[in-house]
Amino acid sequence: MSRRLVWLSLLACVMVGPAFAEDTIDGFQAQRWVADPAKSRLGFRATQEGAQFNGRFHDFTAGLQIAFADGKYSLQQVDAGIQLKSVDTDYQERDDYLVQEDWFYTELWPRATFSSSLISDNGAGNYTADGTLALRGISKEVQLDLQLVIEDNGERGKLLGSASINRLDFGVGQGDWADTEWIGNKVAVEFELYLLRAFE
Amino acid sequence: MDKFSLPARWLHWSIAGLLLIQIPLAWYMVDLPLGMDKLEKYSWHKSLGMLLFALGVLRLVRGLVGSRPPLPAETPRYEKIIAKVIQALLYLIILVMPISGWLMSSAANVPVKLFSLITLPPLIEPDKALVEVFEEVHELQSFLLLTLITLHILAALKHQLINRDNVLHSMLPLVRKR
Repeated sequence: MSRRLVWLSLLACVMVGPAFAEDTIDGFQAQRWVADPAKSRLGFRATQEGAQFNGRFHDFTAGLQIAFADGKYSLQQVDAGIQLKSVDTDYQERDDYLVQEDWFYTELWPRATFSSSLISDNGAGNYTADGTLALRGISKEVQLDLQLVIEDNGERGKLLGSASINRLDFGVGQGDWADTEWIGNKVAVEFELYLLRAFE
Repeated sequence: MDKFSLPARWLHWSIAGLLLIQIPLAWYMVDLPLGMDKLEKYSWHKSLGMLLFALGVLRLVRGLVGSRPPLPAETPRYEKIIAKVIQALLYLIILVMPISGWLMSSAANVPVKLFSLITLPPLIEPDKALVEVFEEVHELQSFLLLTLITLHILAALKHQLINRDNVLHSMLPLVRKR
């Protein structure tokens, strides 16, 4: 074999190698997937005087560990990070207020994070994820209901999820706002993540 | 001039009384920093606004089907026309202003709850640009309303103090006909 061919083969390994970086043990493959930020949506529904209003975060990231074995995908782990400043409730005055001290206090805690610790498979692509949500300096267990759909021969996927959170568990709403008369305690979080395979 | 019927007078003064609360409340609340106090005042403003709308509808229906005492015979024609125009515009603005407010809340994705009892559905989808449009519209309408109220009161006072007829008395409660 000529020296050039050796170099070319080495170069090919370096370039193509990362594409196969997943651990492959006995036909089991651990894959990393990420949410496509352009298409994915992370929203919430809260109540004001008992009447519903909704909002969303524009800036967030989410990653998934998915196991692929025997032609089947199964969710292993979910993590997410949210830039709270990107909150959008269609009303500038309220958005400006939500980032302040009484609410998210983004100056001190700009990000909220979620990391799953236990994923239970409920069959047919449905999962329950128990994990820790860190928000406004408080970390607490929350549960997500998830539905994973992998499409296009494992090229693309979708993760639908929802959770119910008590904002006061995280101190979101200080002082007078700890009273739930005006703004309800329960906040429904809903997301629709368009997934792409991550080749690290 | 004959007196207005009791329901007509009742409606007129209910609306007047509510506007006397509603307009200063609006001025006070808009400059408040966002907080519980502001939410509370806005909630009252919306509730009173929709009550005014309901009273406005009743008044319009009464105006359309009921009869009203004619102005004194000696009133010049142009004065009759001006009075009619101002009154028609007052009806219109009392009916239109609550709607522009409701549209503003809908565009801002802020619920409209009346007297903590009735939740009104949003009229339109949330839209930041439209919030500003309806804010402008609502504010312009408030200037128009104030102008109309001022003209309406000045006209009533003119009847009372210059013409010295009983036009003002025809709408006054509890005052016997002269």
